[in-house]
Amino acid sequence: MNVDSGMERPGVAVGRLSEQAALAGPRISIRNLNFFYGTTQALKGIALDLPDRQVTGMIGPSGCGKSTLLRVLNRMYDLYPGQRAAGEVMMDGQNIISPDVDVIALRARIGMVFQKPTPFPMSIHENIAFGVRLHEKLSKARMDERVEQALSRAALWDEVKDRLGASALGLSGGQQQRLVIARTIAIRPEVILFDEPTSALDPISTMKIEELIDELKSEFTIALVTHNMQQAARIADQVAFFYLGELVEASTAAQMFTAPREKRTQDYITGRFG
Amino acid sequence: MSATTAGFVLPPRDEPARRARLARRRAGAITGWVLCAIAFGLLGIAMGWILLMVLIRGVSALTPTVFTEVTQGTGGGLLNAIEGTVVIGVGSMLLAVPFGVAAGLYTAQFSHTVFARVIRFLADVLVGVPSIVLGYFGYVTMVEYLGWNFSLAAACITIAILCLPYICRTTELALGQVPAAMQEAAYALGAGEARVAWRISLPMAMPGILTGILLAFAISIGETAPLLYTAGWSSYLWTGQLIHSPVGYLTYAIWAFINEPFAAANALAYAAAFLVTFLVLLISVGARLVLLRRQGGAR
Repeated sequence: MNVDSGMERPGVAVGRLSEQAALAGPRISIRNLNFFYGTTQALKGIALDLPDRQVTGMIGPSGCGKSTLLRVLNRMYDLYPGQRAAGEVMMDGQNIISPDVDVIALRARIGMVFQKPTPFPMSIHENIAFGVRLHEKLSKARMDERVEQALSRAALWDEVKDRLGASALGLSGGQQQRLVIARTIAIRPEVILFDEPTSALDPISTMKIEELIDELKSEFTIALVTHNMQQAARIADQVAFFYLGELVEASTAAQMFTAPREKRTQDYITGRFG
Repeated sequence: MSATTAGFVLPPRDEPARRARLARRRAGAITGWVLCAIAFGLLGIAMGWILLMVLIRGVSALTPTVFTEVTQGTGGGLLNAIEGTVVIGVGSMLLAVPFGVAAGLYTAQFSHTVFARVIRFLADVLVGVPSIVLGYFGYVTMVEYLGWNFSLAAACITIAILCLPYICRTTELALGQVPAAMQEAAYALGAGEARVAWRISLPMAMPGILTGILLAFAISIGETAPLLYTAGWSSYLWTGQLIHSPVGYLTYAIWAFINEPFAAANALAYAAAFLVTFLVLLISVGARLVLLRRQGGAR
């Protein structure tokens, strides 16, 4: 196969790429973002827009900085001394990474779902109420309503409505991941970050989560880190390719998977390395 | 025979050398197994012997009076000692658990700070201090200097100091095993440090913490030397007083009555030995069960 010609179509399942619309205006604008673990620089001069109520898929080999970027967006790195971000991450005219941002309020606006399901050791109901209670004071009736809404939105309500008081640890992995998503949307964020949300799940659970993410973008701006290029092709509107801490290329999924501009992108999505 | 793979030639197999290597490995494995079996046998025999002796002599010495009457001279029952052991054990746990768990929580949460390192170092030092030295410390400070005399308070505080490092370190270890992703998930929802510790980390680490507390309780029941200096000994039931009133306990009965030239005294010593061993065994098995349940529950 002649990869240098740029004419080849990489063997990625194209799915709904053809119906690709243009990207929306930015919800979050990242400019000249640098990130350091101690003295090691993990992100170098990143510039990327997350389009409003669309899915941005982040791909690239392990250690390329895509998860690091997610952890900058909700200031998760604050938990660890020695981790440091510099640059601009603008949301509603405010720089997220500035030290005077209220991190707790920020995390209510930017939720996160992790690679492995993280159900808390509490009941299903309490898993969701726990997060809501951090930010709002609701009566019992309104809380129950909120829990039902969130579980319905995450396509889990029918499976758990008869055992809301049961421990969340008894759910299957896929159900646990949808519970975590329900917990995240229950506090009504504007942006949701997904860090490889299906890499620990079986194909059917993966499909359900993908459908859910596709569903959720009507309401939320979504950033999705994934190792699975088919997944990016299936659900992302914009795809960003990271390599060694740099953003190599970002464009619509259609462009990225059919006619990437950079050779490195082409090599990666055709499976040459990574 | 040589195989050609991807353009390079594998060297022919050296059969005798391969066999020699296998034989060496097998000999090493057999030696290891034999040494393990010997070590296991030695430990098993020693422990079996102790348990059997305590069981045989102890059970035959267990009469109803042991449980219903207090000690009279070198005879009578052990009701005072049983009660004293339980009261000292529970009392010292009441003191040691809050401080130990709090210290463990602190060292786990702020593990890289200088203060956490100091706590960890001191806990390790405290584990290494012979218990009789702690007993003497209790005697000098509380019994003598504060004038509490032999008393429950002096005994409980001394035993609590003894148990503190165990509870602190097991708490820290148990918290360290809580997956970081779980805590991050709570932080990502906007939870603060206190809430993450209280609602996520502590409940998830609870089986491990409980195990540590149970083992510390077992230690408190089995201690003798520090109590000789602080609790004294009493043939009467606990008066309810915290100071100025000595307390009886089972390990004293073992220590004091085993060398008496009277069969009745020796019988009491064996009965006490049986009770202490049985209690400690029961607690250890309980701790194992708690741990097993955790491993069964964490999927």
